[in-house]
Amino acid sequence: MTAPLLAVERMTIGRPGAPPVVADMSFRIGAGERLALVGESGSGKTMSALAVIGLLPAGFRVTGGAIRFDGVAVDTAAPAMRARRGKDVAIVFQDPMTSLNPVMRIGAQIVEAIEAHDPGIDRAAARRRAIELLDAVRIAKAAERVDAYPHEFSGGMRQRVTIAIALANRPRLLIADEPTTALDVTTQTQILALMDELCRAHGTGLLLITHDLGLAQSCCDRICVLYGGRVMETGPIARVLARPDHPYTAALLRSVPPGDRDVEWLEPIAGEPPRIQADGRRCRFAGRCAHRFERCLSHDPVPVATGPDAMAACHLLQPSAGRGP
Amino acid sequence: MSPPDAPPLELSQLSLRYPGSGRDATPVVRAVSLRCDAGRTLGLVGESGSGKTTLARAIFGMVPAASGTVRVFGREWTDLDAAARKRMRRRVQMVFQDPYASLNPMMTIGEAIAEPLVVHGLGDRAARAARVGELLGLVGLPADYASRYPAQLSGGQRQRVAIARALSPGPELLVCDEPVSALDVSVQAQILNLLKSLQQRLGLAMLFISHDLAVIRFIAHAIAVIQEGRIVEQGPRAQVLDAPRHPYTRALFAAGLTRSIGAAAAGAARIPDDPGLGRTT
Repeated sequence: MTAPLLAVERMTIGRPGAPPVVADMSFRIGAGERLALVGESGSGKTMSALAVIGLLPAGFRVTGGAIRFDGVAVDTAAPAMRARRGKDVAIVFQDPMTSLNPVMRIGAQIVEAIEAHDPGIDRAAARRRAIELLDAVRIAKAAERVDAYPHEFSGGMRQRVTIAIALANRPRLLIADEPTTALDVTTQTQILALMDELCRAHGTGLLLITHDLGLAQSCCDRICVLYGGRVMETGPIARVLARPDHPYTAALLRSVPPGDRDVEWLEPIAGEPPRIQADGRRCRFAGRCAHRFERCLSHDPVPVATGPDAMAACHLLQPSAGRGP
Repeated sequence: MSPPDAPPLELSQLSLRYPGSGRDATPVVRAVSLRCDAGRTLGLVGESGSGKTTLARAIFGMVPAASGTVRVFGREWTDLDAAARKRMRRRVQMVFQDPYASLNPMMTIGEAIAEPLVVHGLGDRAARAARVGELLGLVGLPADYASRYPAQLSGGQRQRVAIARALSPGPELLVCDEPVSALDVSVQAQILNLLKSLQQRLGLAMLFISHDLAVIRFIAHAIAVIQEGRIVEQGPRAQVLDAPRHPYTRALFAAGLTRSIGAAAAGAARIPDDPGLGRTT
């Protein structure tokens, strides 16, 4: 069996002296596979992605577990490894208004990314490549627009440019952190379709980070549902969304307003997501779960297999756990 | 005095320009006519830059009309003297998108909710305290939250406080501008249920602004779709949802449906290219 492109194994992220923000996080992405990391604020989805690309905020470290790329463990702090990953792994952030340099022409920003990993390339070739990339992300009249500034573009077009920059060095894994949250609904669909198409065409793996289950469904093969810094459930996306095994996934799906039919009332989840990971000896979702029993408050559930390539961490699914009287 | 049969909100052929943009600037809202009736919710759906928020500001007289009229309970802000304007403000309140920005961090929750009562000279200290307790209960918060500060509350709790504050002077028209889009997914349903039940219990007229058609479908009796400052389609909910006539409404639906859970995921790759390609905003 070949090693997956990316394997995150029991990763813990934290600051010295503080409870971890991510604990025991495991997920993997095969070559060309598309995985959605779905969660609310505080779920650890962005921290996990930043750890993978070596961009954790100051003070935060991977304190346990491993991140493997092609089966080789990567040291998240080593600069050499970071440079390599800049070529193999690229990231697109939420807000194209802030991730582009406002005083630099679009083309120059793409050329900068190309030269960072291919220092020998000559100027004219880099520029030609920049135009090709703009064309690939469907910017009309790419040869003219390569000299435009970011403010001359709409939000959707700016996000196309950041995708062009991310794909400049033909990465094997593209991380997209809420890539469409700042965009309009109709533009969102186009940007997702574009990422989807480009990843398929080049066999690029996609790690999509989002809070939106519908968005995840529209362009991913597998889903990993996070809550309070833990994996609640993971599996093929169609199956997880159609037949969720974890009470959190099920409750979340029930709470979303259906767009295709009328309902009198929604079914909310009581309470709010935890802001601080305090107690390691209980299920993170126990406080809001309608199915809670004693064990949920005294033991953190371990993930159990729930189907082919699917797992969920819930005491209800433990074969040995008695529900108690 | 308001004309007795006047609707809580009526916009007629309203055009708006950004303040300071000059008389020749292109209006951001163009010839909009809308009406919001007592006890009903009008959902205004559109994307960013479509003019929804500018329109909301005009309802409060914060943006002057370039042409056309805004009538609140039958009256135009410009026809009211200062005292009448203040009395009118009591009847129209607003809930904003970001509950982190809309509450003063130095004020306790109780002070924030009581402030509109103080401004409008309603009740003495004891009556106001009782009203704060009542309002906290109405939005599903314990009475002892009155002594807490916003920083001690979560996003959903803050939005409940913002709703209580908007309701405190007893408005008859409530304008909600994207009131759940800054909240966590698992919290949005709580706030949507709360707003719908308050609208029903208090018989409010509500203008609910959102970019999310699924949210509008849940909350609104009538729907208006705004694109680039123009209303491209409006009507009763069922009519707009079941038989959308304008291509833009259909495009919004298509985009929303690809994302509704359980719907066939196939449509995502079939969306045409960016219609905004020529846009230079």
